[in-house]
Amino acid sequence: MDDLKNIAPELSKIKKENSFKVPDNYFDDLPMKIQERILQKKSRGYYNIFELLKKPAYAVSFSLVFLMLIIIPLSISIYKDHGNNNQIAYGSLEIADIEYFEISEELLIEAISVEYFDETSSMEQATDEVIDYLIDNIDYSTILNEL
Amino acid sequence: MAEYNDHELLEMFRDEDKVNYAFNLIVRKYQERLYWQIRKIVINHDDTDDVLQNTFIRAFKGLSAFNEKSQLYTWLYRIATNESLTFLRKKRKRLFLSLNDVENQLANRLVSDEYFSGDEIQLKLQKAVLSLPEKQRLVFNMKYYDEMKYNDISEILNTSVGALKASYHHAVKKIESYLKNKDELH
Repeated sequence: MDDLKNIAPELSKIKKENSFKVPDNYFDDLPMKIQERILQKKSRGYYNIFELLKKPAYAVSFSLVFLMLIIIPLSISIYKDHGNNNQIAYGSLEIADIEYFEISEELLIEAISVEYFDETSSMEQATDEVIDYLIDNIDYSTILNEL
Repeated sequence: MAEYNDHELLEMFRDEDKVNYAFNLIVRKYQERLYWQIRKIVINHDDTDDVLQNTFIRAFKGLSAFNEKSQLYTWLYRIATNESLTFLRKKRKRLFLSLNDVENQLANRLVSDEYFSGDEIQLKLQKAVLSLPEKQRLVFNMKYYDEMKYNDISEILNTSVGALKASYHHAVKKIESYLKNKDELH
């Protein structure tokens, strides 16, 4: 107390008293109220889900969990379907590959060569026809005059 | 009514047939002391009533695991303190207030509180206590009003005795300063 007088003279002057009050009979009734609450909780189980859902924080949490329970299995099934589609696509690629490899290199060269030779022979034929035409229809003097 | 010591009450509580009777005796034994501890933190009677009931319900759930390493009273006191602080934090969040604002609000409500009978100087002292940081306020209440030993406070707040002495010293100095400054204003 002497310490308090030294470090806090104003505080030490104030009478130490309890200025708070309680309603009449509060402490007589309280044990019964607590007992009732404990019995209520026991009979309901400590966590009644419907009671909890009345509180906004719990309601939001439960909604999120509920949505997750719907979304996750749905996403998994969509992903699985998507995976199956990929397999079909890969399968068709395999078929395309088989078709591609069935055309052998020799066949390919032959096809190209035939086309090439056909084309060159027809071009040679056309040139000969043009020369023949020129020989038959145009005399040398006309050609020399043009030059 | 026979007065049982804590050990006897706990023994009785462990007997399945006497659980409710034993707990009722524990409530009767400690309700007033815990009430005043909580009341000094949350200030308002109705809030104190809620916090005190929650304290005893929490104690009921945990009592079967209580191993008597600490005294029953300090264990209950610790639950009451935690429940009170949790209550204030929830209130702060709910009203989007800072901790200081909550304490200002409590101080302002004290003026019109029908269950507060203090005169002007007592009101001023309560406002000074409410202006302290949370931990200093707890230490001040336990030491100044409840005259608890530092060892018991240390067990309740899980803080070293040295740190508690320093907290109490700072709290007293701040209250003295508050009282002096407010005197100058009046």
